[in-house]
Amino acid sequence: MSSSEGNSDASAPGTPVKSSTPSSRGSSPDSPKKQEPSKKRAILNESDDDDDSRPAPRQLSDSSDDNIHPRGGGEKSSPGAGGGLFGDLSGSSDDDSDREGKPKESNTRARLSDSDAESRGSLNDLQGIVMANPDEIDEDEKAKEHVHDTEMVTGRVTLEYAADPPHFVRMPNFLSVATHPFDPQHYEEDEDDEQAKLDDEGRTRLKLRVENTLRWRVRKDENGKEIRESNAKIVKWDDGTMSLYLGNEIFEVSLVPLNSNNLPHLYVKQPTLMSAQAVLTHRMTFRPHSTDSQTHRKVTLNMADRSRKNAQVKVMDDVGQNPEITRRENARKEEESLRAHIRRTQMVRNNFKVRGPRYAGQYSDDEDMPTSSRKGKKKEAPIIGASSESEDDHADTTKKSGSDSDSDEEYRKRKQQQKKQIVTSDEESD
Amino acid sequence: MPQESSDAKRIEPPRKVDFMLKPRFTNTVPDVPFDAKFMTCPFVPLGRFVEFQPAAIYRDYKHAVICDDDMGLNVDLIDLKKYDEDPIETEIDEKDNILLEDDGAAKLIAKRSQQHSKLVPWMRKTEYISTEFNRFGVTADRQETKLGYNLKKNQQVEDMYRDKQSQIDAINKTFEDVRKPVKEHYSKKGVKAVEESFVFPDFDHWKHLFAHVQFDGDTITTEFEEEDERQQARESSVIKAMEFEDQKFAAVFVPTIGCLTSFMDDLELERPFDEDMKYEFLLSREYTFKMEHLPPRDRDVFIMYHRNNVFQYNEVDCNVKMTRKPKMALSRKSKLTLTYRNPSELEQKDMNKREAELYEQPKTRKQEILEKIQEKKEEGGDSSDQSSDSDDDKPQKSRSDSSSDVSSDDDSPRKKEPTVDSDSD
Repeated sequence: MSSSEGNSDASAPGTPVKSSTPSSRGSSPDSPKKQEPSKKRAILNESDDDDDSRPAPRQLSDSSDDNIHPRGGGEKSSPGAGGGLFGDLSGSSDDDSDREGKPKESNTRARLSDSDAESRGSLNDLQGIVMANPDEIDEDEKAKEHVHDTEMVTGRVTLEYAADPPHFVRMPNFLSVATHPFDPQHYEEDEDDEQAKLDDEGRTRLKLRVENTLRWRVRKDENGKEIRESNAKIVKWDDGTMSLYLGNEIFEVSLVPLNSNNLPHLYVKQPTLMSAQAVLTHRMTFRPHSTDSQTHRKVTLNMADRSRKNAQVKVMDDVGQNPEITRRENARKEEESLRAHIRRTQMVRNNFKVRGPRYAGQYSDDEDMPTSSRKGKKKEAPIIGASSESEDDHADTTKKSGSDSDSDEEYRKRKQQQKKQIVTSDEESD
Repeated sequence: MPQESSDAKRIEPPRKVDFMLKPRFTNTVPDVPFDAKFMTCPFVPLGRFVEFQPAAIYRDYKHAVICDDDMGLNVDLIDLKKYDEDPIETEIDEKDNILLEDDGAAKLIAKRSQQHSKLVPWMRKTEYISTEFNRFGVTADRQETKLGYNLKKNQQVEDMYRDKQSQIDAINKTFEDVRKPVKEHYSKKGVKAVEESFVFPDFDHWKHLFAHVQFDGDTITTEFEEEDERQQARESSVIKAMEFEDQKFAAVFVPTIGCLTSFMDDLELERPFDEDMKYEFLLSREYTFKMEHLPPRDRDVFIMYHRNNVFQYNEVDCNVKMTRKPKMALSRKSKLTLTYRNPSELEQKDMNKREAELYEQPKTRKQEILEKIQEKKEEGGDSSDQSSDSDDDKPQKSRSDSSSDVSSDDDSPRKKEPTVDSDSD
């Protein structure tokens, strides 16, 4: 839908462009009059800039391109929406793409321009023959290059203002404007932190809202008809001054004249161009009517809070432990390590003791198997004693046997040995 | 135990005497040099100073005595009725009443405090020289000279709105308060109101986008016979973006006298334009332009005008600064021929959309953030399209703006620190 409409719009303005060319051709009888002023201007240009004569041949092609540029831009950018000046530039880029897409049309346009150039060339040749001066030909070409005629179709915007032109208003920080209608259901809460607004330079700037805002709302009348209400009004007084009433707050309104040398203009942005509507001559400023007003207090308090020097308290996230506690903990750790070391040494000693009794046990096993096995299992120390005693017995037996040869004595010795062994077994049992 | 302690006290330590000399104490007063003389007092009888006569008040007054009903006595020997105060109130003289009043003093003190609490920045509190040498350099905290001291001391500070409902109530109150008629000036006597005009947005022209254009000189170079024509030409000029020999600039076209005549005819005939007419404009000046779009939220720049007994305001969409170009690329003979038509459907659609925004509620901040995120995603996807390329430029600018804000935020604490240092110094 939109694309087709765009095409139709593009085609519609195209036709007057085509019709305009024959009208220019129709005006050929007036050509001698036009030629004279062009000559004069060419002479002026030459006197101003002598260097321009050198790049003249290059400009020829440029001028021909420019002739095509504006027409295309005018046609195709008209359907474009918004963008303003930037839109125009994008339109020109579109022209290039269109040329690539449609070589035939570009060729036809080139032919038209060529024909115009040829006709002008013939006239120049005639004059050249009469004048016999090639510089004049260049001058004529320069004049042609600089003259730039544009035809385009656009919408007409005319705003109705009263006798007085509009005033330029830049809202101060204690006044805000809400353009949308006020609706309690859709009201967005104004938080204290968000009162601050960043300035152009990035500094935090107070911005009063809530009840310092120009608002309007829709209310229903007694008859059910919708009425628009505003919470602000401007009162004109006898002495020519004005005041703004915003609820109960009163602000003085003053009109300050702007610099008359370069007055700002108010333009309306249209797709291809901007048309002027008014010249701004005055600026409207607002000011609280006295220092006792509520608005002045709010602003003053805000400034006071900022300028006040509060005691600076630094919050430390992580604080180390008490050094005394640290020392105690270190001491405990050292003690524990020492104890562990001692325990390890004790274990080593135990291992050393265990080897001895095993060796003795083996020795005792040779004599009497069952008794020796029992002794070894139960206790180790008495085993050692037993082994020593047994050794002593062996020594005694050897000595006695060497001295005495009687068999009775041997029998007695054997009995004594048995008694000793029994005694040792009793001790173990106890 | 107590016996032992008593025994200990009785036993006295032995006295040691190192020097064999007993101290002698004498308290001798010299004799009176002469006998006493007594004078007779002829004026006042001396009996007055010796005899005590209680006054009537002392006799009649009854002191309120508080005592226990049972003072350890089993017999009811005390009559408590004698200690009760008289229930009848005695009338006091007027002068005594004035003296006994405490409010009078409070009033006087309040009157003084009002004057005392007024803030006079140029007046300093007297500083006495301190006798303590160690406090020589310390400066007293002069609260009276601080900003806002007066307000806080008198408790004129009103708490900011804490919840949403109180804010809504305050706003509704402004709508009601503004309807009260204003008859006399708030500070000037004798001055009366001539006209009251409510402030509304411009509902009729809201659909257009306005640009605030600043020039560095007069835009008109064509000669006009009358100043009125010159002014009309200014108010009817046209700005168009031009491109010539790789140069991009803005050209200001001024209507010709014929064009102005056509405009006047259209105005008289009450028609917006003549479809068959071709309006001619001549090139006046060429400028290099810098366009600055204002953010759509929290706009501060408005155009306000008085029309139909109502003050109407309209938004300014962008701010354009025009700088004169040193050399003109085109001849002043260049012509712009305009043929006017009604707005196309696409333009009408945009106008209707913009007008509808005036009556709709703005989007919540959260919704805006979400939409921005979605837009970024879409932009990433549609990077190939030219239109998206043009769109990409704008968000890049907005991003740069936000980044500049962030950097500025970083700068602001840096600025604050040196001020603190200077204060400490």
